[in-house]
Amino acid sequence: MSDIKVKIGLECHCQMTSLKTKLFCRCPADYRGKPPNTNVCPTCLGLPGSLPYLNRRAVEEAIKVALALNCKINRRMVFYRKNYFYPDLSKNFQISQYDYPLAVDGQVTINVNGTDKVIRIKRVHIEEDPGRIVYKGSIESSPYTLVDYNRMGIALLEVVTEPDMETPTEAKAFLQELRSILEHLDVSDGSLEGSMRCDANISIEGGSRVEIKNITSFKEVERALSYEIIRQRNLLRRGVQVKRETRHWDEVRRVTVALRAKEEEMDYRYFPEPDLVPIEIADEMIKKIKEQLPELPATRRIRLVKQYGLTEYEARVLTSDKHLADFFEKLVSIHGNPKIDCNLVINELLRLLNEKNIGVRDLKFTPLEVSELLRMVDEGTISWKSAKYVLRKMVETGEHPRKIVEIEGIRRIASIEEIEKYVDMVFEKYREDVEEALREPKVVHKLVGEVLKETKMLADPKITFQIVSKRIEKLRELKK
Amino acid sequence: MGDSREAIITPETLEYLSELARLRLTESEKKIILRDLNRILEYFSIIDEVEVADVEPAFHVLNVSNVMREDEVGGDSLTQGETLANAGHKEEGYIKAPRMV
Amino acid sequence: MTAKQIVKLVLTGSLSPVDVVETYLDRAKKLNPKINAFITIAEEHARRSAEELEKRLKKGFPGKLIGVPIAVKDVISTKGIETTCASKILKGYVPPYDATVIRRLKAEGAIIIGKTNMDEFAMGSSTELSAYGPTRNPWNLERVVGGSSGGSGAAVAARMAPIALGSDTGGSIRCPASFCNIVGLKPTYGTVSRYGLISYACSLEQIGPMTVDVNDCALLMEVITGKDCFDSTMIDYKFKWTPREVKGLRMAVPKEFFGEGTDERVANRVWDIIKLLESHGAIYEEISFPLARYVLACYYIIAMSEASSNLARYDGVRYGPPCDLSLPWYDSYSKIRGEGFGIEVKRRIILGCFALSAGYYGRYYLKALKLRTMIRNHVLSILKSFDVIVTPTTPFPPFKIGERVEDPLALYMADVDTVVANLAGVPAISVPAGFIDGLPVGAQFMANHCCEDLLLTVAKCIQDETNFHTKVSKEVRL
Ligand SMILES: [Mg+2]
Ligand SMILES: [Zn+2]
Repeated sequence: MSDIKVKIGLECHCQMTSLKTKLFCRCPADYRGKPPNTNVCPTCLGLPGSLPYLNRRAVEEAIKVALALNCKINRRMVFYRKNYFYPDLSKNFQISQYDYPLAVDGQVTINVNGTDKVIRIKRVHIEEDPGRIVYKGSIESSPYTLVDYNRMGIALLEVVTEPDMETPTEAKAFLQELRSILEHLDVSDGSLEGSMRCDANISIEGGSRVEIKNITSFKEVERALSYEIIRQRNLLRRGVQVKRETRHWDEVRRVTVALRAKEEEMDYRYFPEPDLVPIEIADEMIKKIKEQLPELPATRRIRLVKQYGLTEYEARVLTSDKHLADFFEKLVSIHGNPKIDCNLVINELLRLLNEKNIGVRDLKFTPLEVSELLRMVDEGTISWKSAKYVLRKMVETGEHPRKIVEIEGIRRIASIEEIEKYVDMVFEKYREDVEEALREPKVVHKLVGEVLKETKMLADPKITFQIVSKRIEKLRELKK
Repeated sequence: MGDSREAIITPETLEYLSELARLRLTESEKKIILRDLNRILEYFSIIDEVEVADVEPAFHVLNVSNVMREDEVGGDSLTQGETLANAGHKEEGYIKAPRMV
Repeated sequence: MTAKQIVKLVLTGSLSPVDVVETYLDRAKKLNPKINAFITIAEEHARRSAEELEKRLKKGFPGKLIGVPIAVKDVISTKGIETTCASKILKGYVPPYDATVIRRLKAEGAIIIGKTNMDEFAMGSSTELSAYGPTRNPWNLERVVGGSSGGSGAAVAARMAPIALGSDTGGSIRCPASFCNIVGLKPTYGTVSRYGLISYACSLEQIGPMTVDVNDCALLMEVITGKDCFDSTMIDYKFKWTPREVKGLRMAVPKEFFGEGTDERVANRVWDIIKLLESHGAIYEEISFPLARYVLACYYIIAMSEASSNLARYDGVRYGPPCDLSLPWYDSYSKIRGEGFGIEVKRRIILGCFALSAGYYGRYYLKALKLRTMIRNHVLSILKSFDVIVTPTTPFPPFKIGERVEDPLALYMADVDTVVANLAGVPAISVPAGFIDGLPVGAQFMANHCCEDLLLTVAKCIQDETNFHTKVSKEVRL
């Protein structure tokens, strides 16, 4: 992929999930899990005669984000109608922004493989989410569609980048950073299904720009882009021109498909929404919001390095997910050993989370329980190795670590006398190995391993090694 | 922008516009509308006489701005029954719409 | 009977709301086949409301409009009563919510007696362009009532309802008021909530009263004006009026609205009114309104552009006649919309799409908005030196049904005197100004934003001196 130049731009749609109501009506913003078409009113259902009324907090939250993305805030913000027909749009136009958007010209720094890269933000604007279409099977095979308007009118923030990304990995890194920023601002909860979606445009040197729509989660982006790059590269290789078109990401089949040709080059006939008035954003308002901005991932990273002596890398892993970083800091505040705490969180805990595909907030325990676990290691009650095992059990069952240790009979064997008993057994059992160990020091490790196995891994490996080595040494001397 | 007195809407433009507006027209409607639209546009062309270079467009007739509401739940919420009552096709609480392709 | 008189009789116990409703229902049912003023006579709803009001009266919660039947243009959303906009595409649609004005009327004890005929989606000036057939003018059944609130105009003129609500985007209240010999007021933009008013051109339209006399007009204004938390384009204004003399009132008479294209007899009737006011101490001056020749084009470009977007929602999915599920969505939408809209609505949607489309936005839509600024500024500058601007309401008296319907431009000409007020957002009233060969004509007055009280003062003077408003067509005698 390195031989051809790829340009990727993203249009991210993030729901402002911390709002109580929709963008233009007073329906609850929490539409998830409700029976279809039960979270609507005349306005979001687009009934004849209904009118939009702007949610003040949506504007304030959006300004927060724009500031965090280092954008210039426009002093005059205007809503426009974007006119196009689609069954998920109850009015067959979307209230969005066009000229006079909320903010323009921002930037975000991402880091891929240790290298920083600036991604420019073209614009940030506010718009309404469409409803949800349910297909019977795929979009292409469904004999009709089912529409649920519960989501219609949810406040969305659209963040548009310049085509500054060159690989799917960079795109993924950008989205991760954006998500972390939104979570640090407490504007959007990325763990909620469908709360962060995006469209991507991608062009490969020598081809036209292709837009990929319907990427329903940030996770899918890398996959969709990788597929599309291969598809376009294959076309170019065969000498086929890549058409300028809009394609639809089919999540199930993991391919992009071209929809009806007529949908390209849509004339949206944007014009200012006559039912809403312009919003003048005063300097004082921006100043006030700026003063109240919480710590963002970039500054938090620096602080984590300074305050806890973490590496750049460790700080980056932690802050890629606000809740992970929160978890870590809480843990340190109780347990107080940054190196060990960080190691446990970014190596052990994060691996388990990824394996189970869950988020930090899905855990059934808090940093307090984890600090208990680490305290048992500190006390010498259990080994580090056992601690990892107990952590897995905690993730799976939510049980208290001390209880898991008790039930499973886990403890750390550190008494020399006790370990020597096992060593006796092993030396009896593996006489040949012992003989060999006298000549070849490497075999000592094998014996240690056998002893640990006998103790069901409860023995302290260091002490065991010392005992085994001492024995071999003695035998060797005796032989002389 | 060209001479405003010439007929601007051709049968092809009308075809395009009716597609854009999702309006199927019968042949006789096309004939009538094509004739009328061009007459009306010709009449509209008198606005070309006015110089408006320095004039701000009146997106709103009154100078009202910054009208927003608090983020509190309320309003005319509808039950599923009310929502579906006017829909011609429905299934299990959903509103049925035509297929996409 | 006026609404004021009904309220008085109901409060004194001389009449019960049920008596009132039955009387009007009886008239409405008898006359409607002849006039076609109502699309729906809400018989059951009206009776039920009247009964409930009797209970409310006993509890001692009367309202400003207690027991008064009201005819409502079928463009205003009424919970539980079919609301069609006189279009096939909304046939069978029963709104699950009330427009804000309807809520306020109900709170004051008014009773919705029916939904009145109109030009489809309020696009027209004669009420001939209705899926339910034309409304006939009570003064001459061969003539149009004006539009688009023609059903409301006819209902009041024929005394099928004492008062009515209309909506006015470019003259739709004032034109039928003029053609029906009643009072019609388009309030200042932003003073009456549009929540529940089915949009045609949102930046231009307002709901307003259509009544037999000025006092009822004021009464209705008191009820329907005032801020609403469902319409964000409103201004803080609550109608209040204390009648006063017209002495010293300064009137501007723009000559462009009396000259070419205006029926001389109409101009003369309006001049009679001006002279009448002059005799009561008002002063007038003829002025020039050079932008007059652009007002119609400006108005229609803006209205059609907004309409093309406002009417996109009618696709047969959520309401209205169901779409065809055997077709893919784009064909299904085109089909239902092709079948559901009348020819004038189609014309306006297509022209509106054109005026907003890439390459034409600047030349048409944006240009019209700039012209709108100029026209508004001009109107406001005139109103700095004058209290009111006087013109005919329409350039000609009611024309024959069918006479102009085939020719959209000829029909648009009916709005040439009224659209200015919508473009400038100012209030305007049409007052009965006499008759030409037995056909009513109206005089129009415009005033500055929120100066409705001035308009009513002028109208009251005319009403007291002429008594035109007391005249009723013999066609509607039962
Ligand atoms: Mg968008
Ligand atoms: Zn809603």
